[in-house]
Formats: sequence, C-alpha cells, structure tokens
Amino acid sequence: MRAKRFLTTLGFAVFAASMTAAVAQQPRPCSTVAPTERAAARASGACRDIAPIVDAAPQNGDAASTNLPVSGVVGLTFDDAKDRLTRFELRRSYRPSAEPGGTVLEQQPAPPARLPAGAIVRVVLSDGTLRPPPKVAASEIDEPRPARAAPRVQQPQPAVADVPPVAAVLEPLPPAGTSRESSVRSDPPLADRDRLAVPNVLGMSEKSARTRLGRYRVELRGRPSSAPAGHVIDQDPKAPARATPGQPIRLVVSSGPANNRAAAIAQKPLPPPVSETLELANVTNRSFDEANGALAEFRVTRVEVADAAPNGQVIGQSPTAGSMVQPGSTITLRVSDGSLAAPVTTGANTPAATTPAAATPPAAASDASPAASAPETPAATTPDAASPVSTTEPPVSEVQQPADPSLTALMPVLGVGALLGLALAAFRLARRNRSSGEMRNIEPTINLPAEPDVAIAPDPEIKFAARLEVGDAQIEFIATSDTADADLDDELDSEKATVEHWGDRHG
Amino acid sequence: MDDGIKLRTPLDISHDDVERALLEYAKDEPTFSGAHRPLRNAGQQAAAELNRVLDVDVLEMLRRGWATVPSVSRAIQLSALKKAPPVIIRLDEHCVSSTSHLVLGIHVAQKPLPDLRLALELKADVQSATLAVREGRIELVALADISVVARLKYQSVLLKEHSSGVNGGPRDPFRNQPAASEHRTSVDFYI
Repeated sequence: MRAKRFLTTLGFAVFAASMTAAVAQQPRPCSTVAPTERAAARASGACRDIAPIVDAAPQNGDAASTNLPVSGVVGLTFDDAKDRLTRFELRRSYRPSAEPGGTVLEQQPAPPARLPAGAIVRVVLSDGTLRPPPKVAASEIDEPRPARAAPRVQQPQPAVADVPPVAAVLEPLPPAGTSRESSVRSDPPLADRDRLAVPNVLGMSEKSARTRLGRYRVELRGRPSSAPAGHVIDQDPKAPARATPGQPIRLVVSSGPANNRAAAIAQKPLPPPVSETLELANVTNRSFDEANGALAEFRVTRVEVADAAPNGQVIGQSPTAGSMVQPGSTITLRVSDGSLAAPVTTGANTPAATTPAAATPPAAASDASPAASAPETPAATTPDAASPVSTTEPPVSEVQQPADPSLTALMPVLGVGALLGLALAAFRLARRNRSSGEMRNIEPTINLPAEPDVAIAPDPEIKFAARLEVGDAQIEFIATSDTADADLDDELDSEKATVEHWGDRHG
Repeated sequence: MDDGIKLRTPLDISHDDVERALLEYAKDEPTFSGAHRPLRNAGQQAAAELNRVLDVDVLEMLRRGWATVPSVSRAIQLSALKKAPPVIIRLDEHCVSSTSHLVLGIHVAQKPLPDLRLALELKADVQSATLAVREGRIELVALADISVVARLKYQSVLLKEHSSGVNGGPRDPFRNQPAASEHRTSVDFYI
C-alpha cells in the first residue's frame, strides 16, 4: 500500500514539475516588463511583443473577384428578396411581427458584405401575426364599442358638432389596459384557431406548390405568361392569409409565353432557382394544435408517447429546432398522452411541474430554441480581421492588451493536466470504495461527499382489482310435443318440473 | 358437487385477451387511450386477476337459474322453515342463461382509470336435472347431458368463447322410473 501511495505521489510531482517547466519556458510578454527595461528585455529575448494576428498573405485577386456583393433586402417581400439574392442560397425563418407577412425583418449577412456564389444568406421574415386589427372609422371615441353581434350604424349627431361622424363600427376595441398586441396573441378569434398560414408558392413549380399546399385543395388555372411554363404566377389567397385545411387555394400557373416577344424573353437564361430551406421553429412545450399551426409549411406527424406532460403537449420534435428543413418535409412531433402525469392531490392543486415525473422532458432540453441558434456571422465580414498592424508601440496604459499567447498556448496543457488529475482522483476513489472494508482498518476514514439522490422515475405502479358482478339468471324450459299439452297446475304452467316428496317414494 | 367445474377452466383469460379488450376499450375511452401503452406490459397481471374472480363453480351459476323456477323457489322457502325430508324436483330439458360482468378496476400510479367491464355470458342447455331441496339449499342429485357455452365479450366484441359439456355429474337414480310429470300429480308439502 505504501509503495502504491508513493508511486501516486511521485506521479503528481512529476506532472507538476513538467507543468512548471512548461510555464517557465514561455517568454513573458513585454507589456508586463517595466517601460524602462523593456528595450533591453526585448533585445535579450526575455520578453516577447504581442501583436494582433493578421493574415498577411497577399490577397488572391481571383478569389476576391468571385465574392459577390450581398444586396440589402430588409423591408422587401420575400419574393423580391429572392430576386435580389438569386446567386445565394436563401434560408428563411419566421418571427411574429406587426409587419406584413413575408416582409424581411433581418438579413444575415447584411450589406456591404461580400460572399461567394452559393453562400448561405439567412433572412428572418415576418409572419404577420402581430398585425394590428383593422382600424376603426373613428378612433377618437373612448366609449366602449357595441358588441360585434349587434353592429349598428351610428348616425351623425347634429347636436354635438365636435364629434365626427362615424360610419360604422367594425369590431370592438381591446379592453382598457390591454395592449393590442397581447390581446391579439392571447385571445385570437375562435375561427382563426382552426386556420393555418397559407404558404407562399409564387414562383414555384406546380409540383412544389402542390407539396407546399398539401393541406389545402389546390385549384389550378393556366395563363400565358413570360414566366416559365408550369410555374405559379398568382395565388389566391396570398400568403400570409390564413385558411382552413381543405379550403381551396386558387393558383394560376404560367402556360408559357404567348407571343414571340415573350418567347424571346423566355429564351433568356433564367437565374437558378432559389434553394429554399426553412429554419424549424421550436414547438416543444406547446400544444399540438399550436405546433401544427406553427408548422404549416411542413407535413406534421403526431406520435403519442406516454409522458408526464399534459395530454396533447409537444415534448419533442424531429428534426430539432433550428434545423434547416425544406418546406413540405415531414416533421415528427412527439406528443405526450398524459398517462404518466402525477395523480391529482385531493384538496390542493399540485402543479404538475413539482412532481418528479413531470420534470422537463429530455427532448425539450435537447431542442435548442431558434433564438439560441442564431445564425453565425461569416468571418469574412468581421471588421476586426482587417485591422492594420501597428508598427509603433503605443503607451502601455492605452493599449488594450489581447490575451497572453503564452497563457493561451498553455491552456490546453493545463486542461489536459486537470483532466488527468481528475481521472486519477476518480480512479483512486473508485478503488477506495471497492475495497472499503480492507481500507477501513488501515487508513483513516475519509468523509466522501454524499452522492446526490438521483430521482429515477420508476415505472408507474399498476394495480388491478377484478370483481364479478353476477347478473340474474333466466331459465327457459323447452317444450316438447308430449308435454306441450300437459295439463299441469297453474304454478307449473311455465315450467316443466316435477315435484315430489321423498316420502312419496320411500314412505 | 364440490369438485364442480370452475368458470376459469373453460375460459382461462390470457394476456392476449386482455390486450384485445384494452385495445377495444381504448377506442371508446379517451382517458384510457393514453394509459394503454404502459398497461400493455401488465396484461399478464390483469389476466391473472380476472381468472382469479372466475374461480366460480359452473353449477353455482346453474343453481341461480334453477332457483327462479317457482316450484324450486317455493321448495327452498319451505324447506328452510321446517326440517323435513328433501323435496325432489326433476327438471326436464331446459336452458339456463345468465349474463354477469367482469369488472377490472385499474390504478396507474395510484390514479384510478375507468373500469373495464367485460360481459360474461353463460348459457347451459340441460337435458334434465334432478334436484333435492333441503334446508333451504339446492342439491344436485342427478344431471343428464349438459352443454355449457361461455362467452367473454367487450360490448359487441367477442373476446373468447368456449363450449364444453359437463360430465361426471351424479346419475339420475330415478332415470328408469316414469317421470312424475307424465302423470297428473299434485304437489304436496308436509308442513
């Protein structure tokens, strides 16, 4: 035992010595040296200047010329954005906004960035869900409006000259103290709950449009157009209108150019079709209906699983949130059936989240929210990378010292060392626990930290209790020819029974 | 007749029967559909519990039917009042039918689920039976040919059916004698 401890201690000592030597070999930065001694230290190599890392390689003219300027599309409709970014791969995601649906809210990268052809450009579109309600004819009126069920026309009041005439009240205003936005989100009209956002299929081929509009009934109509034949040139209703699944969506498909001029136009090489993918929204912890509505451009498959979450709540999705998925793809939602929910405590409303079984679903933890998976900024657009090399050393007090490169180089070594030390300690602890019986007599007892109680969700306890509820029995005598006419007593009319006393035979 | 035939012998509910019943039940009970999956592994346990309550003598079910016959019922009442020699009653060909219910109560994580109610239909065609009524009880003296059909159903879905004949019952000691019903006889009880 002593030999083993000696070897372990020796190993630690060797490791620590090697770490110390590695640190000592790294020259310290000149910025840590006093200004009066800095020149001498720099000349003798005792310190090293730290400069920002700059890619000093000459710019390749050919490579630079292949980069294309990225046009700004913020504020445009998605169709216009597609037209401007035809050389790039366009990826879009949606966000609730008061802007009209399909309007580009953000763009990544933004101008004046330059990207090679085919690079990814992400745009965030408004889904139009926060659009304000239709304006009423006279917004100056503070009085509560009459109910929608009984709209009435307010005639101009000649007696009050200041009040402008009101043509008609379209819909009631939200209650006082409630913002319009929140009222729209939290209490949508009942009919809108069953409606889904109609995807935009303009410019798509007929097949793609049918795929996107799989939930609706597509009505096609042809029309000569300069657009390529078979492409959708008009749509009714247009995105972002909401429509009930099964509702007809009328599409006008181009039947090709109608004259020679249009044919000439059609002969021109068209820009490549935009490769379009959508960033999958995070719909976990939402009800299935909500999730289904949010994923209107995909095919949604519902898979019910036993879980402690409330019935109908989405506990997982595949592909995960943030994935770039083509419209029309199948999204599998795992929906809790609520069967493993904790029993309701009598007399008190126990929140489901306090029960062990109702912990956060594992799938939800793995699903990154779209906000968390923000698009990466291409390195080429980072302005810091192009900062020039400073040839004159500024005063120490004014220099923003970057990270010490020696320490930076040392970090992996230290990390590996720490990991090795932890692994060795864990190994020793494991061995100590295994042979604790022998060790207890030799070494003093070490108070190990108590292991945390691991809440293992047990299988739900299932009990059965069967019982037999015996029902009434009926008896039916089967009449035979020789007994059907038997002249029996009234009591025995309905039966064919013979009753005799034991004494009749043996008495 | 202590060693009579138990209901569980011909029926013998299996794991598959319970599975089918739960499947059908899940279609009707929305609250039950969610629990169907975890219950699937407990089908054997549920089948054992159902078989336990089926440990009922088939003849016990027949006695309930026989007791509805007016003469038998009256004999039972009279024999219970007075200690007297047994009254012998011979029943010619008849059919006893009864419908009972097997109720399976289910608790998942101490949360009760709606009961699963299975109908147990029993139909026995008896060629003849001779009963002795004594001290308020029906005793079977002799039993001729009998066939029993037992059906286990969930609503209209037949889960299991078994038909069998009951053999080994005591023979009718009066079989060769002319049946009393062939004569006009009065029914007399010594009170």
